[in-house]
Amino acid sequence: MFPAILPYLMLALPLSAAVASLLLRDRRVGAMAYVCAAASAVSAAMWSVVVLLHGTQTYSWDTSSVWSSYAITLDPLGALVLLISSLTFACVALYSLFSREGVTVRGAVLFNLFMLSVMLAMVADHVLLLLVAWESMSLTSFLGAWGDREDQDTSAGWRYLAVTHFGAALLIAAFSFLAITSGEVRLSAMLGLSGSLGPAVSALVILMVFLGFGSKLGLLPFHIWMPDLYGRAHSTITSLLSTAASNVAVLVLVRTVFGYVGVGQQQVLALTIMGLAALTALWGAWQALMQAEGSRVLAYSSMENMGLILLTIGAAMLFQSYGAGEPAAFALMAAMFHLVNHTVFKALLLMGAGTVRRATGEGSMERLGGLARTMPGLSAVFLVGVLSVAALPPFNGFVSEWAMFKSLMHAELISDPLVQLALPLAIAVMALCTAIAAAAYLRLYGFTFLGRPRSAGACRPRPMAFSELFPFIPLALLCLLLGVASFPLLRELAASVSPLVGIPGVQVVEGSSISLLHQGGLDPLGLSALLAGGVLLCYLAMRALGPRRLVRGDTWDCGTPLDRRTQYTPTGFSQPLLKVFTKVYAPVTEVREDPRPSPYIRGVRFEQRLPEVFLERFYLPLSAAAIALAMRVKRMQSGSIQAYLAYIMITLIVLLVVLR
Amino acid sequence: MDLTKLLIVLLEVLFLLMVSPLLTGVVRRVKSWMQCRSGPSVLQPYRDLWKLFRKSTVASREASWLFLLIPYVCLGAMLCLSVIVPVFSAGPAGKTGDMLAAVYVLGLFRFMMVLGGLEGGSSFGGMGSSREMMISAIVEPTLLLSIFSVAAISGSTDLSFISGFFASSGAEALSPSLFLAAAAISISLLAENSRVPFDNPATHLELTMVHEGMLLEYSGRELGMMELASQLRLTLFMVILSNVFFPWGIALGTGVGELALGAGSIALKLLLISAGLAMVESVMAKMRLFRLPNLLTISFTLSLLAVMSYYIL
Amino acid sequence: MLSIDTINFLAAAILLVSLLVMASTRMGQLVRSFALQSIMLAAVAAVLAHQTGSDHIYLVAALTLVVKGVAIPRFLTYSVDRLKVRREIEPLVGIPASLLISGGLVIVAYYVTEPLISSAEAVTRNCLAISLSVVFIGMFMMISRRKAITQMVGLLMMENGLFLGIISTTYGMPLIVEIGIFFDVFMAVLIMGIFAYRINRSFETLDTTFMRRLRG
Repeated sequence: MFPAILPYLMLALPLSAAVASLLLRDRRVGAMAYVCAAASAVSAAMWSVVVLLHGTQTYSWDTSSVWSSYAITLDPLGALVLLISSLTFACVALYSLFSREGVTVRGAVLFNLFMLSVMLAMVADHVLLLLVAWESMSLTSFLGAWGDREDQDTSAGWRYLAVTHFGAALLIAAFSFLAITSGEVRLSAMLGLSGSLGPAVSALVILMVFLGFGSKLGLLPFHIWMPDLYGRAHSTITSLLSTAASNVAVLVLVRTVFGYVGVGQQQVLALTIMGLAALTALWGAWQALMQAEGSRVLAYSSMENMGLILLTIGAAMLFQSYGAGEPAAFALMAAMFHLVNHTVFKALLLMGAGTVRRATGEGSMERLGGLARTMPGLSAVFLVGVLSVAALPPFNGFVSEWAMFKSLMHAELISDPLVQLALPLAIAVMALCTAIAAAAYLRLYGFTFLGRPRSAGACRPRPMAFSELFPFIPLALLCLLLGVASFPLLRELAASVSPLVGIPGVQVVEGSSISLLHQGGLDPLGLSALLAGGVLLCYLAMRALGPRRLVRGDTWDCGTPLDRRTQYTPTGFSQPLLKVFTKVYAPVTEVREDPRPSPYIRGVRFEQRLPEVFLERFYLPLSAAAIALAMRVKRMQSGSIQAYLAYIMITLIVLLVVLR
Repeated sequence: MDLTKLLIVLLEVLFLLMVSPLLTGVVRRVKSWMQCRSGPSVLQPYRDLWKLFRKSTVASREASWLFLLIPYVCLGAMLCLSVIVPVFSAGPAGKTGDMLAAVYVLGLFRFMMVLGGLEGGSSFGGMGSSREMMISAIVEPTLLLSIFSVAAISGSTDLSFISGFFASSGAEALSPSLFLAAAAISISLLAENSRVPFDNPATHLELTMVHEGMLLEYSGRELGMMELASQLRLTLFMVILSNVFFPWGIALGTGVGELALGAGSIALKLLLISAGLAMVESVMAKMRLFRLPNLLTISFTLSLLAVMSYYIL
Repeated sequence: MLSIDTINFLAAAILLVSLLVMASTRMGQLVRSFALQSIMLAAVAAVLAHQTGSDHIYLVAALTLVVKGVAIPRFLTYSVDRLKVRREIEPLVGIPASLLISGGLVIVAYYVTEPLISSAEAVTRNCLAISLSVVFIGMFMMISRRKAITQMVGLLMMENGLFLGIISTTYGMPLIVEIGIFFDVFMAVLIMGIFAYRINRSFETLDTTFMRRLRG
């Protein structure tokens, strides 16, 4: 009895909370709304556990609508993703609740509606439910990011809406096509449609679905909205958007490509997708290195991680198309695990970045620094997040990136020379990507928290209460737990993705070691134990030498007193890599001599700008061409009644003549 | 994990700990000989470490709680790695340790060290950190590709398995891709351990510092730990290079004779590689910073070729 | 047979009157021609009613006569008086040219309806083609004239043409539909009259070429 009400709780709580806040417009009701959201997330987590224990569950409502009964369903794969996502949602809800500025009614309403649409999209079994939930996700995130402040430049918001709706259009077309072809509106009833669609059409459908979901994931070239949104929106919205929207997109994408349509023999398509995803990941990493604002770094970081996930999914498609089921299952498992990990650490990082921005009043790293001394708790949890996103042991990012690398190292199973060239290239790209991204994250942490504060706001940030820090702790613990003891989760993941690639099961976990086809495994528990043991050993050895005598002194300054400006800047940190990859960035440099303030002083002004390549070379010319075309067509609209009537008459006559 | 294996592991770790400062001393001694001076004793690094461990620590006022934690993490990571890497024995009798994980543990070490460089809020540290990240951004793909080619040839990414495979298969496993991968890893060894031509380990001039710049703020036992960790890293790289590409003499079982042979052979190989390293350092000059990407791209191309040649040839 | 000949004759006469409407430049002449067309249309309906013997078509004929033959022309004359417009000043397309184009439109109408009527009876054939021609001519009149009143007449002529087409092919529609259509037309004319007055008040002219604000 009890388990049956969980899905209803999950969906009804946020809806009623949003409606109540909207009607009553009271801040206390808004606070209650966040509590409702957290409760809904907890019930979603409980429902996922129930499904993991007992198998797939479906709930349907028979309505007398023409679209047959609406239904929601949760299978083990969805349950795993929903479990981690809902735990993250609960933490984000608590974070919004406990933030010092308090709650706003508008924020509470949008948060609840967004969460509702995300959860609905994850469990939707009906085509219409999925599409409506996706659309409401876009709308609520748009309103959350741009509706609030009136004085800012909203062109970024319109760009977001345009790109998202382009993706949504592709999705609506693809899913409608699938529904019509199969005659089903229930998603779980659509299976293996590539047989009835034919290879060319199913390739087109898969590509449309990829591009449609990719517009939300930041696939090249649909990524232009990401930095602006992350830079301007409140961290609550970005934490949800980065994690929740990505989870929904990848989950439904995997289900569609492997389940509803089926991969078949689509080798060229898989290689194309891998190529596009690799470029996305590289671009995200390169741009993350050069951003001045912490939230923009995290935006490009999302793009990079999604690129890696899509690369691995493309590799799974490639293996599947050659009939190698086990490597395909391993690759899918690695991708989904990285997705789950990304949810946890990205939410942690975005919440941290938001807290820093609100506590200091500064968003740019050029004006931060030294926060590890004034906000030690936040710096500790943020370090956990940064170590996770940079894929370092013993945290969760390391395990999932290891798994993603390993899944690409199976080229010897396929004898096609194209694949044998493509997979090593993919590994090279992934390796370059992770190395550059690690530099970007290091820069993010180092210049925000370490060193000397670079502005007054960073000097004296508003102190953090423990309640503000509390929501970060479960996420940090989850990062560590998923890094050290993730094998039960991986076993479940492997079991749930195996049906998608058509094999009964794949052995990925032996004892506590993760491996595939006995080709060398990773024991995350053992490795973490070794690391902890090593550190402990050092500590004990040093204690044995006697107590530490610590004296505080000045930084080595060669005799000249140091101030906040004599330390490295974030721009300077990434300058060598800018020089190495100058073809990628195409920086625009301007050196100008300032008018002489006095005969003895010469002023020189150096300005370097990194152009937004995709915006300037692709989108702006495209929109300019569209506007030019529209201007030419505008001449048809002369305003004269006679002209309009003449158009009607001519059309009528032409139609009659043609159709006789 | 039976007692024999545990004992072997402990012996290996102790061996590495003891031998690392010695190897640094050997490198310095050989370099001084090439410069026609007698140079410091090979035991000097031990004396330096002992001195540092007994000194008090001076930390900058700008440094945070992380500053004093970093040396423990770095040395702990290197100790962890020394457990994973096969030293005396390999194959079924050895331990399991993934080569890919080893690269990531090295990454953890580097990450922490670079953060330490940013702690003091001085330009030396920032410069060292920035240059280290530039070098590592191009070296890591090289390492990973070399691992991929070695894994493809031997069929596994497990270090002990690879070592045992090459030891037991003899000449038929030799292939051009192995040679290319060895060349790529040798260049990576120089880059990762801040050796000439990438960095001068003996300098303290800010224009030439990479590794030393990051360690500038450390003192006392923290500095001792960081120095030991860096020496240990160099030794581990040399061990990987010798036991993966020249694994002759490594023990494939747990017999005492075999182990003694394995210990002797690795000691000999390490000495030879150290001497070779010293000679390379003496012959070459440190390169300008922005010429380094060229060299690194060469090593990246070598590793890419290693992978391609395995599949094409 | 007599009735079929009569219908053919009347249909031809309707076409001729449409051309006459096209040719007139004065408002009074225009309205009177339109009234004549409507009366002839009523006559066609009456003959058809006589031929088929159904009573409600008589009613329809009577309605046509009263509404379109008498009431609307009276209203139009009233509007014309009130608005004090007497003549169409310089149509957009000159009279000779517009007559030629109307001729062309008749040919097009015959061409278009040819496959439809090849299997039907002769009277239906003819009437359908003529009705489509009247529709085209009415539309063309709306395009080529400036004054709002003339455009109203063009619309009413289109309606006439459609009506002719309907009754000649289906021999009458259900009464309720007919009544509905009449009511529609009456309302349309009333509204157009009000608008014409308003336009004149605002713009001091009924010249629709002055109303070009609805542009991109």
